[in-house]
Amino acid sequence: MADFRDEVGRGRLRWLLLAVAPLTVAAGVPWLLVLVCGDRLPERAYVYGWSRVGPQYAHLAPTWSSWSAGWSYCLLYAVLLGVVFRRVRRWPRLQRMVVAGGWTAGTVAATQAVCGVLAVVDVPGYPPHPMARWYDVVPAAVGLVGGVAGLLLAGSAPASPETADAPPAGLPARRLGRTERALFSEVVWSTKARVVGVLFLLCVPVAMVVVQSFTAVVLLVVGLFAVLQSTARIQIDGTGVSLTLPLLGRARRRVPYRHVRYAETAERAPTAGWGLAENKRYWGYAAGRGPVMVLRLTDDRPFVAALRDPEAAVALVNGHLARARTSGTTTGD
Amino acid sequence: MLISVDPSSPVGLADQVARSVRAGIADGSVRPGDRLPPAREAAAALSVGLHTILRGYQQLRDEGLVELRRGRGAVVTDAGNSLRARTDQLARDFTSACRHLGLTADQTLALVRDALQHP
Repeated sequence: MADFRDEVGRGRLRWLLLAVAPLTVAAGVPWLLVLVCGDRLPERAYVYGWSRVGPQYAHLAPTWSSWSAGWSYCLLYAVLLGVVFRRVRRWPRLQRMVVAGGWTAGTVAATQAVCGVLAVVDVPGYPPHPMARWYDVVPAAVGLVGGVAGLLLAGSAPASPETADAPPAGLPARRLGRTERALFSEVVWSTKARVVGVLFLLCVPVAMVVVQSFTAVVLLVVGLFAVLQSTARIQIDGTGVSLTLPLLGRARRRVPYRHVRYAETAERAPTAGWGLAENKRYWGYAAGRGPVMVLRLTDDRPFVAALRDPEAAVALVNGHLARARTSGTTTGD
Repeated sequence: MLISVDPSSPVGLADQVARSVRAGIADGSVRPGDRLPPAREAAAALSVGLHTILRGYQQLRDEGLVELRRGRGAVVTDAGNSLRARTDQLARDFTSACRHLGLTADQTLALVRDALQHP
């Protein structure tokens, strides 16, 4: 059985630099802003936190140099991102997501710094209270654009190896007729994802009143995503296996048979999870309970789907593979 | 839920679609409340016409096994439970009759196999 290792793929150094560069640059942005706008800034950095609660707390505001130095945590995050990048070196698709994460985090941090400074440029003394709403919305929006830009800059991940080997003997396999076409379809859902999503959404109004609207926006986005990805449909047909999220605009991920070695059942997912899963151990859809279908793929990271009837799904996948790879009948992949 | 069709079979494709779903309900793998795959996607996956799938679903609706709702697709009704119960009952009646006749388990299974091969 081929053991796929892709540790020295071309362009990986470029991806690593792409992943850590935004946060590294973001750490320098505050210094640059203070350098450029120095004469037009108030005495202290009345930018966020306690210093903006009211004039009575103005003395808690840091100096501009200590505020700028505070952004050095971005460098720490950049190093951590580099470590994560190294840890997922076998899976280019995960590395690509690390690049997107680096760009999202870097652009959010840099935009927060820019917005914070722009809000107090040419404001003499203590700035008016409260801060403008755009301070919270703009970094989140720019971060979203930054993440997409990171994905585009990284380009597409190298394709996984292909296989034409028949599945090993002894595995459950449905005997398919020469001209038979079969479709397996099951809607699965994650109760945990639904509950967590609703809890996050319930926290949104509280966060808007008590904390700040940036936190509320984050809670809203995370809560909505958790609820919308709590339902999925797994479909197996003559071309492969697909995972569709009907509530998320029918977002779909496909596993063509040419990347599948064989299918088997397992009592549970390799690690606990709920909803969409994407980690070192596996990717797919976990419902946090019950048996799962495991597709052994050519890149060594299995696709896992929680199903009520995984035996039928596994038998159909192996049946399709066996028919195509022993008799040469096309599977359409 | 497994739907399978074979164009080389003498049985009509729409009947095969309905038969697959009915079998799933009877063996318990399809339960009331389960949603049938969207007709358009099922047609594409099985390489048959959309109207073939819709005719199969309509057969199931006429039998009361499926409810077709605009925007929600086809959903298995509670009648699925009675179909499952009826199948179970038929199997129990048959096996108890065989037991009453003094047939062994192997002989009973041979009878079923023979009936399946020569319907």
